[in-house]
This record gives sequence, C-alpha cells and structure tokens, in this order.
Amino acid sequence: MTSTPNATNWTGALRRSAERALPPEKLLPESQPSYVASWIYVFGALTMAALGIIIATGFVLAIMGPTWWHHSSTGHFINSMHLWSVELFFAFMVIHLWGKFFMAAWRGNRVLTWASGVVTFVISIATAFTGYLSQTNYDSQWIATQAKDGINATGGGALFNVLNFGQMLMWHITLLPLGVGILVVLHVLLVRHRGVVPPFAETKDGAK
Amino acid sequence: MRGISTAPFRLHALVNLNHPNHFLQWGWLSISRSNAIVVGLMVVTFMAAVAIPFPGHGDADQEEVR
Ligand code: HEM
Repeated sequence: MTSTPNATNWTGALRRSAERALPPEKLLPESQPSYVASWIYVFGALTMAALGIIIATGFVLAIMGPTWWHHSSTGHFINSMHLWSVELFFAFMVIHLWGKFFMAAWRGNRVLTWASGVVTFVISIATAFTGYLSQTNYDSQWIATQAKDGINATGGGALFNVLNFGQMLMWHITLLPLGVGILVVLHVLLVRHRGVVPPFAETKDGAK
Repeated sequence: MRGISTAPFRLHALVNLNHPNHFLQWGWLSISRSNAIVVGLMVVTFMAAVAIPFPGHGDADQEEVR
C-alpha cells in the first residue's frame, strides 16, 4: 500500500493491477520471438478476421430483415457472405486448435488461454445452431423440429425452446455473439499477458 | 428489372447438389462425402501451414527477433 490518499480507491487498484498484468509494451508489442514466424501462427488472426466479417454482415442482415435477404440479389449476397465467413471461421478455428494442440500451447501457466478457446468453440457452435434456426425458411423449420426432440431428451427444452423463433433469434443476434466477442477479447489478452509459448526445443534443455 | 429478382435461383451450383448425400462408411464411422472433403482440405491446409516457410524468414536457425 502506498501513502497516497487513493490507496484504497478501487479504480486506482484496478488500474495498477491492469498495468501490472498488461503494460503497454506487452499489450501492443512491436516484435515477437523468431519461432512465431510460421503460417500456423496466422490462424488465430484469420479466425478473428472471419469473425469480423460475420459480425459486419450480421449487422446488415439485422438492419434489412428476412424479406430482403430472401428476395433480393444483394440480400442473397450478404446472406451468403455471412454463411461462408462462418464456414471459414470454423475451419480456421479448428486448424488453429490443431496447431495449439500439437505444440501443447497450454504449457507454462497458459491453461486459461486453452480453456477460453474451448469455451469459445462451444459457444460458437451454439451461435451457428441458432443461426440455422433464424433463416426463416423450410430448412430452419426442419432443423428446429428435428432438434426439439434432441433438446427435450436432455430436459432443457422448457428453458431453451428451439421451436420459439423469437427466442432463438434473440440468442443468435444478442446473447451468443456477445459471449463469443467477450471471450475472444479475453483469449487474446491472455495470449498477450503470458507471451507466446516457446517451442519444446526451447524449454527442454535450458536456453536452446 | 425492378422488384424481386429471380437471378439467384437461376444460377447453377458449381457442383450438382440436387441428389441425396453420399455417405462414406468405415465400421462405426459414418461421414458424408462433402464433410469428408472439407475435413481433408482442412488437414491439407494444416500441413501446408506447418511445412511452408513464412516469407522473409527462410532460415530456420536464425535466432533474431523480428
Ligand atoms: C473465436 C475463436 C478463436 C480466436 C479468434 C482465437 C484467436 C487467437 C489468437 C489471435 C491467438 C494468438 C495468435 C496465434 O497463436 O494464432 C491465439 C492463441 C491461442 N489460442 Fe486461440 N482463438 C480462438 C479459438 C481457440 C480454440 C478453440 C483454442 C483451443 C481449444 C485456442 C487455443 C489457443 C491457445 C492455447 C493460444 C496461445 C498460444 C500461445 O500462448 O503460444 N484458441 N488465439
């Protein structure tokens, strides 16, 4: 504790602990160790880029609405951009995950980075699922009527009713994307906080 | 032409998708051909990402920091 009058002030304490965890040069570094110069390290950023396009096109779909995305060429185009960025998002995320798995990137106190990735993956699947239910076409009706039996078998159907279009749409465009967004920010801040995990060769017998 | 366009429906898909999905079967494992192709492409991308050198960093023994 310092002798400043702000010693017990929570904003000051929060600022000091944030500065300790993520000093500016750690938050926005200018260089990375040489082993980071590999294509496999690009896939986290590619996942974020795909997520950015998903969010941007999702905003357009929300502004214009289902009649537009079903019945105009531009609407079809934006709807397809939304779908195909989701396909790329999942492919990039899984290749990223394979990369981190084979380098055991949870080593050295990085277990929260891995765990936040796992939770993001699961929430992303729920987001995609409610997205299929929000299409407002025969496809989404079919998926909802099939999925209701599965969800009811888990006992969750009363709380999470896949036949309730309004509820599914709300989950898809507010709660779940917010969850993914917050977790991605946390995930990347954790990577910055811990620094990129050194390869096995760097840790086994000391320096090299 | 104004109003509702039918253009998107007149376009042909790159691959003819107007048939039931073909499923591959190895014992307990069952996967649609299209999903198997996607997984295959992802594995190829993963191996390429590990194998292809990152531009400007050809020498793997360099210990320099970018
Ligand atoms: C929305 C999905 C995700 C995004 C946007 C994302 C983004 C990123 C980024 C930008 C990095 C740093 C650069 C890199 O190494 O690629 C990173 C690192 C990492 N990611 Fe992800 N990630 C996601 C999902 C996942 C998943 C599903 C896992 C594993 C289950 C995972 C595990 C990790 C780990 C362990 C690291 C740290 C590597 C290290 O410290 O060296 N991530 N992530």
